[in-house]
Amino acid sequence: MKRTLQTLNELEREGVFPRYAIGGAMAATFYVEPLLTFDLDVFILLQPKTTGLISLTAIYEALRARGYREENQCVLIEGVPVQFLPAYNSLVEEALNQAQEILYEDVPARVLRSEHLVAICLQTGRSKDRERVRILREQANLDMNFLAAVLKRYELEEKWKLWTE
Amino acid sequence: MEALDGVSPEVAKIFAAKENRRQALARLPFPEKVRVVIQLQEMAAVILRARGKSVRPWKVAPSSSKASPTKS
Repeated sequence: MKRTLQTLNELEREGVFPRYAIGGAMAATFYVEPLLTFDLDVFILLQPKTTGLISLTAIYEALRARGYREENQCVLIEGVPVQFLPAYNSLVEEALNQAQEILYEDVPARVLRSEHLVAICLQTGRSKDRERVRILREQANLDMNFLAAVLKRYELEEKWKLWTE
Repeated sequence: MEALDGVSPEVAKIFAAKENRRQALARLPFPEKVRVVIQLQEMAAVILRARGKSVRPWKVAPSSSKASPTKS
């Protein structure tokens, strides 16, 4: 995964996207026991076009130019299927902007904060998100004050109560 | 771990050991966790392919050092 992250860093440096962070199951795995997943979810900030629409075309083109190919909804980068997800709402934008800086071996990368992962799971609301919230609660040493503020800001307090009581 | 009613002490001990194992896995450095995920993918792929689902375990270059947060 080191080379995958190096490629993402190159794309960020070259301005293909202004910022990225790992999300999804692999981000959760940073904080808890290893969770089975077959792709690497990468959240990205994109500049909206003049039409107001956002597009992944530039990213796919930059990756094609490097010889990486698309596979289903992902791009296979150094053996890892990467799923690019544009920040689709204000919660995800905040999560991206406040993502934790890490070193993967000697490669810098970003991972969404565990509290934001919980909030995104609550917002998404699938059964696998509920299970992920349970594991994050058990193992991730959540900052409960930080989480409470996020849940309040995005009106997720009721959902949190429903899922955790 | 939550208390379990009607479970013998021996079984309770096994459950506690399993929970400890999960906590130990959660404390592994990130690159080691990624290696475990790839092992999980390889195990799951056999079952999923038998069910007709097409999945592909990651093919990544081997590496050895550890990850660490640079800020919390």
